Amino acid sequence: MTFVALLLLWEASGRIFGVPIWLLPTPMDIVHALVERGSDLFLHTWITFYETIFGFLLAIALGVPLAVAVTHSRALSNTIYPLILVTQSVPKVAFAPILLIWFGYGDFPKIVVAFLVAFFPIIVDTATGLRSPSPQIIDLARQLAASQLQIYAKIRFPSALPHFFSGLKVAITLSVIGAVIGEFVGAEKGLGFLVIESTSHFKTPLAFGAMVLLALMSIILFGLVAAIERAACPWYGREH
Amino acid sequence: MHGESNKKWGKGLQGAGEFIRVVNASKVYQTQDGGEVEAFTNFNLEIEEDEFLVLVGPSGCGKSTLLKMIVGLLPPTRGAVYFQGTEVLSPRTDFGMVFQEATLLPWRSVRDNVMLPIEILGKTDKDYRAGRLLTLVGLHGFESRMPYELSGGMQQRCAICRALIHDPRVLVMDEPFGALDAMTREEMGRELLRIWQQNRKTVVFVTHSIREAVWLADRVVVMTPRPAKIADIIEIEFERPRTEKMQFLPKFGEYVQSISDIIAGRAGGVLCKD
Repeated sequence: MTFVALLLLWEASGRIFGVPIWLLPTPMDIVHALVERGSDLFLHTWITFYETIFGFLLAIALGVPLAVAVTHSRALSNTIYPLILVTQSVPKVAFAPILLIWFGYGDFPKIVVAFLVAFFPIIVDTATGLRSPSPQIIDLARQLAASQLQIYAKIRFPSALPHFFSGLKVAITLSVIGAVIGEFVGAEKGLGFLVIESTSHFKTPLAFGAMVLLALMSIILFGLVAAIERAACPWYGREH
Repeated sequence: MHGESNKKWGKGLQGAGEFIRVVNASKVYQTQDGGEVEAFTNFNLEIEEDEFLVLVGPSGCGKSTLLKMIVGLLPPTRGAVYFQGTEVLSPRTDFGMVFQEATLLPWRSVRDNVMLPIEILGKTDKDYRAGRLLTLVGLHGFESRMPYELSGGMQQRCAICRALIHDPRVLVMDEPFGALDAMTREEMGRELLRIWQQNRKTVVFVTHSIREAVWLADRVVVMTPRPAKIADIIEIEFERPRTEKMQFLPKFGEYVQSISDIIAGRAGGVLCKD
């Protein structure tokens, strides 16, 4: 309701005060621009979508094993964490042009940026989750001569799920931003590219339209991760 | 009552005969700043088969460390632990453990939590022990409930089932009722005695409550602060099964009083008398 009211207020004030469309288009202007642009919006959305997803999945594929490594050995933890921290301290926006030099104009550098931003919350949260079981339950398993594999399969991994999913929820929205940053630096397709292209021609309504699509994508992906989380750990948050 | 002096054992006798024996065990911890802390030094204790042994002593006097050593999770720095004459060098899978927190796995139902040790040991519950144990502790009908649906006392009952599912020789309990409210605690004590009466095994039980110790134990081992030593061992001569009324006998009060005195004399009254 608040959201609809805000949209109406925006629409009304835009018309009453006669704000130029290239400065701040009204919601109707944005919808109009999107409809006018037509079918290639799907292509741009799709490109950004799969760059996001690929980067995100890559971050899971690498983040989870590294989280296990970090949990498993103090030595590995002391080696890996500083390295990860360095990669996190470098602003991705600054790093993106270099990726462009390395990997060219294709989709890959965007996927890499999406991966880099998503990686950190996944490894940190998963590692926290893997360490969350109480020392007592681990002692109980060890006293029963459980193998490391059993301890991970039966105790650490299920315990880590809620933390893993909070990492994923942060990571998925960051992945969208990462893909867009990648596109800003140099691209011929994607919603990020569309923002750059339309603003350079003062097609502000279209730039806003691309942002709306990006926001929608983010929200839907977040909702999807949250839904999977609820299905995977229904017990979480009900312990007390 | 045995004093500390007659607890020394000659080399030749090591581990022979007794059920569980801790011989001249010392445990030294390295602290963060490189120093050393002694949990206990030259500690000796023997535990008989099927007895209910209770350890009381001030916080941080190494009782949990001692329990870990007995189950084979933590090797002593010096000395040894023997189980039926064999030195304990690795975790004893034929022991069961209960902690202050129930430590149930929140994604598993009551039954699946109880089955965890069986799964880890790669066995099957061919005798349907899970069902019988859950009935024994009064959790019949709660088998498919999730831990968050249970009260603290019920969670702890479930944890006791989990500790008993693989029919262990020894039940090791580290302040199992310490996190429960006073009324639940009393009830759990009664329940534990009932279970123990029907399912007799050796119990090694740590508590801060002297009354609980006197009520449950065959023998109460009173420990001193770090480095821990045995201040005294009190034999509780009430008959089994124990009844509620025994708590009001003058003899009960005398036991509680004498244990309190031992602790106060050595530790300056660190313990609460409940």
